Amino acid sequence: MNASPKVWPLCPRPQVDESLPSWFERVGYEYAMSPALLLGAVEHATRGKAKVDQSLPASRLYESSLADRLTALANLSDTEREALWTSPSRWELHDRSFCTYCPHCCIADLAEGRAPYGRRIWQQAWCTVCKVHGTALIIRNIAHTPNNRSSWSHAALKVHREFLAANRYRDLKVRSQPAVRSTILGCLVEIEQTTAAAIAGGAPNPLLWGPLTAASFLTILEDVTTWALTHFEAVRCWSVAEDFTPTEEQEGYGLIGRGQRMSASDYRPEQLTRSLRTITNPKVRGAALWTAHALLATCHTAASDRSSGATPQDRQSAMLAGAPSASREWIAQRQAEWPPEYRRSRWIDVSEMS
Amino acid sequence: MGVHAMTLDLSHLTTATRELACNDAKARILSVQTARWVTYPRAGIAVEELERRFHYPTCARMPCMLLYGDSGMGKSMILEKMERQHPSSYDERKGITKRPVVIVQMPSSPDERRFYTRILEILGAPYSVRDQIGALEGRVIHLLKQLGTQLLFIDEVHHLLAGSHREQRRALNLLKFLTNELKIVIVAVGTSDAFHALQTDVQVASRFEPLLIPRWTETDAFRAFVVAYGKLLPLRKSSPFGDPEMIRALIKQSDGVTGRVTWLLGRAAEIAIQDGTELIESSTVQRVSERLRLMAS
Repeated sequence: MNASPKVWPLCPRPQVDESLPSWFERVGYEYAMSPALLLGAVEHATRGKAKVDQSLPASRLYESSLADRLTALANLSDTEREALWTSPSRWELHDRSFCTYCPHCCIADLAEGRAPYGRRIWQQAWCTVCKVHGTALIIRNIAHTPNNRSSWSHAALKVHREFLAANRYRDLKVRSQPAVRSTILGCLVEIEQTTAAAIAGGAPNPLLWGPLTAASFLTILEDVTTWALTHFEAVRCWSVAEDFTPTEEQEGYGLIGRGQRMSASDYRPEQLTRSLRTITNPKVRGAALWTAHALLATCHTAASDRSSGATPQDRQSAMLAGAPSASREWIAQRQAEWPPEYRRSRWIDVSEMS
Repeated sequence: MGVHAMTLDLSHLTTATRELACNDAKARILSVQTARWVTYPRAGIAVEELERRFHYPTCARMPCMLLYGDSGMGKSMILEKMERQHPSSYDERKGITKRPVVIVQMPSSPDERRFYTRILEILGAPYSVRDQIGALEGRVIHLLKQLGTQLLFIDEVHHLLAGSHREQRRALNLLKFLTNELKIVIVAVGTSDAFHALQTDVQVASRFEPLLIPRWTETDAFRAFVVAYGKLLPLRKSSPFGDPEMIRALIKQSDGVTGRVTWLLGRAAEIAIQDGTELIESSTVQRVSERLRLMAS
């Protein structure tokens, strides 16, 4: 195990912006091996009769002992290694696999004669819209069979792309309002760009988001999205983020969406809340960011059937009034950590709501 | 302690060996023990045939070959020479290690799984014990095609006789399948048993053209081989390698097996270096052979 291993005879080089699980999957395709089987072979776990889990716990790929071994097997340069094993930030999805993708990017990859690959940015919990094509990311649900050379089909990708673009298969429950879709997309792009800039250290525009530093903005965003995604009630229901109006549901198709009705008792024992990081599906995260935009942004145009006010405080009042009291108590507690000046100028006093 | 080349007449050695002959005894003995390639007519024909096949254009029926001869006749040395002449190279941009020549040994019992995993191990490719034979087979075919392999040597091919009749049939079918699927030159290498084993299947026999590496007899070719080999032994005095007495002694003591001839010469050279005689005579060869017999009895 510790002896210097032979370099793999066939090993595609990682793309500059590629995530580790995506590259590992592409290596597996060269040998017609699923990532789980390849990982087993790398770790020599499958040399015995031990049963191996077919699902790949992608987080295992990030272990340093495996990093050394894979670097040697794939003959990776220092730059490639550094890019693949980037130190985790507080915004990375808990599911570190290649779980979301943009069909437009993947079609472009195929057109350029390379296998579609997962971008590192798609692993960020705040990223639900493709920065290149301005379209929604899609959850990837692929069963790896050992004989697969590639899981990507040009035809299937085109269907996904057209499905999102034309939205032609939906049932029209309410009057069609294409402008609402553009509004939702614009809001998501705006909040995601601000988040990306804040992670890089850039303070948000005070006219749009209030007097905040980058760090405070990220804390507040985390609190608000966690609040919007968490079920505070004992009965199964939608979280605030997933409680759409008919227009939002119809026009936000693909950009914002729902998981399933849940109660807090459906969470894992150690889990108290649901945050962006714990949710793989980009459209559910999109819903939380859409809600966060309504609560935090100075200018927010809601869907026509959503009662909304001109100021963030109006929207906060409307949303928090309908929320369970436990959720109000939770956000009030979190507000204690926020900058006092920001709270005074931009937020209602949640603790005073009955 | 080494000596200066100017004080010795080393004209009986090759230029490269002359330098070695000036080294101390320990270094010279080490050099004697190192395997070396000496060409001789039959090996020359084999290498030439392999080279011709190496450059053969891809076609439906590639000219495969069976290289056979007794153990110790230097078949593996021919394989290694081909590998040295066409070494692997790493394409850093694509991440591909090109392997124009691949040498694999037939497992001690003919078993497809062991055969495929052995190829994967040689190539350094990953595999799992959970892989089905079909998956292993597909992986090997895909890899050999991607790595640009042009010659696949299957050494010790007579091992397929170690299996049951059914296993032998399967191993022969495996060879047939590989020739059809890969469309590269496959060279089966083994003893005379391999020749007989391959003859049991008409289709396989027609695909593999046999080339025998026979045992030596007292011929000019053998004399030339011994003289050429002697020039590579770092002895400081000229030895009578071409003398009929020496040739007869070597044939008698080695049964005409190349490996035993070179072993006898090497051991005799070691003794000549150790006792300071610095030359090999037919009596030295006989002494070495007798010692060997004593050790074995």
